[in-house]
Amino acid sequence: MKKISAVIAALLIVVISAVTAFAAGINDNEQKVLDELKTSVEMQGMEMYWPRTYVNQAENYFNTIDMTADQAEQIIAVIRSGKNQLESTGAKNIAECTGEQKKELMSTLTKVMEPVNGTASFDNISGEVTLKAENGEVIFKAVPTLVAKDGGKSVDINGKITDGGVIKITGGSADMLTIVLIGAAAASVIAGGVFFAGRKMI
Amino acid sequence: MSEHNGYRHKHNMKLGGKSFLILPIIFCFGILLIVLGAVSATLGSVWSAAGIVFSDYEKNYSTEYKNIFVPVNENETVDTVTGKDGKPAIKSENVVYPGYGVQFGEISIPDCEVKCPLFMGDGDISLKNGAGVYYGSFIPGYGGTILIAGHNNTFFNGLKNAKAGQEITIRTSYGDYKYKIRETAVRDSLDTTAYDLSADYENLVLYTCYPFDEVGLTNKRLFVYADLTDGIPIEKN
Repeated sequence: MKKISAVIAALLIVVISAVTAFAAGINDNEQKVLDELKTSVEMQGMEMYWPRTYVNQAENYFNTIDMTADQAEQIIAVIRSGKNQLESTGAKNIAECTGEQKKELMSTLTKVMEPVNGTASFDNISGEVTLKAENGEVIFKAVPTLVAKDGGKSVDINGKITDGGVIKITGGSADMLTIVLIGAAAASVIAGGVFFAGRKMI
Repeated sequence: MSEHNGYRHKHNMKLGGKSFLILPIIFCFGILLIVLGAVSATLGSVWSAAGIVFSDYEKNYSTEYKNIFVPVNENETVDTVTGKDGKPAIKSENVVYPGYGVQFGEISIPDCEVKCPLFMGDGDISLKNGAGVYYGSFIPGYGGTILIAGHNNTFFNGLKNAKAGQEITIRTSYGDYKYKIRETAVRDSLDTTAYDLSADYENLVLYTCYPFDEVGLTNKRLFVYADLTDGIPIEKN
């Protein structure tokens, strides 16, 4: 009986430990990474920061994982190395970095994701960086930029003036395929009409 | 007369003598596309309704996105702990934090006839199926800004009737949250002062494109601001 009780107790401890290991929320290790993300980078003498929305996205992701101290240390080390890279570019913002510098930054970003088995990719057309978790879920998607602490406007990697705005197109006309189709059709009808009218006049 | 005939002949030669065939085809194709584009929304609804009536198969809505929303029953209690402020807080480990694109709740504004699924993330699939919490903001109960987008011709069409004092309810698997509309405002989409993603207090911001009958892209958004009136906060570590 004692043996059975001991086995049950041991099993219970294992189960409770397993649940605790997957506990959500922000642990101390994750908080250290978030604090590091909130620090500034000096670009041409100006203190620049990641937009707050980037840090929030990281926080939302951290709420779904349980980062170990070792993982946090590795990530913080790579973030610091990325900051040094940015400062040594001599650029005012990421947009002004050369193609080679951007490639190096992207490589650093890939290393940031390695400790948590995530991935980083860059879309040449949209200029967006996408970070994915180990399970393939998107955890971050944005055109990278840095902003001044006072929330002043900046220039993103596409050269577009931005202040980290996040508002989506939410109109009924947001279906771009429909817009393109109707636009193309209207143009062809107008062109046809003009052609016929021209022929009549002749 | 001969000059005129000569010109016509030359003109037909330019089009390979097939203009009588090609031009009507182009014209009809264009008209067809316009008609299709204009009535596709109506036809789509009719087609879907017909599918529900006549189909022998049960439609599977779960393939497009993951759904973790299980509403909390009215008489059900949620496990709480005492928070740092001495008030009850939902145990963090009891909250399943939704990943990007996951349905985790439902938002409703009875006075505006708004009721739809709520997703984490405001990607295309989320906004096609409901309203989406911007991933750079937070979930209800977290104590930050909750920025939610919805299309003005579907799920957030009712926001045109939003007024101060109306109640907004967000149901999640870890509890229900109620907010009262403080104000509405039309702002530019690039106006980042329209919301504060660094706020350390719970506040709800809904938005959709404005005006509601605009055909084409618009830079204006209708923002609806609301304050938390009821709901247990999530425990902070």
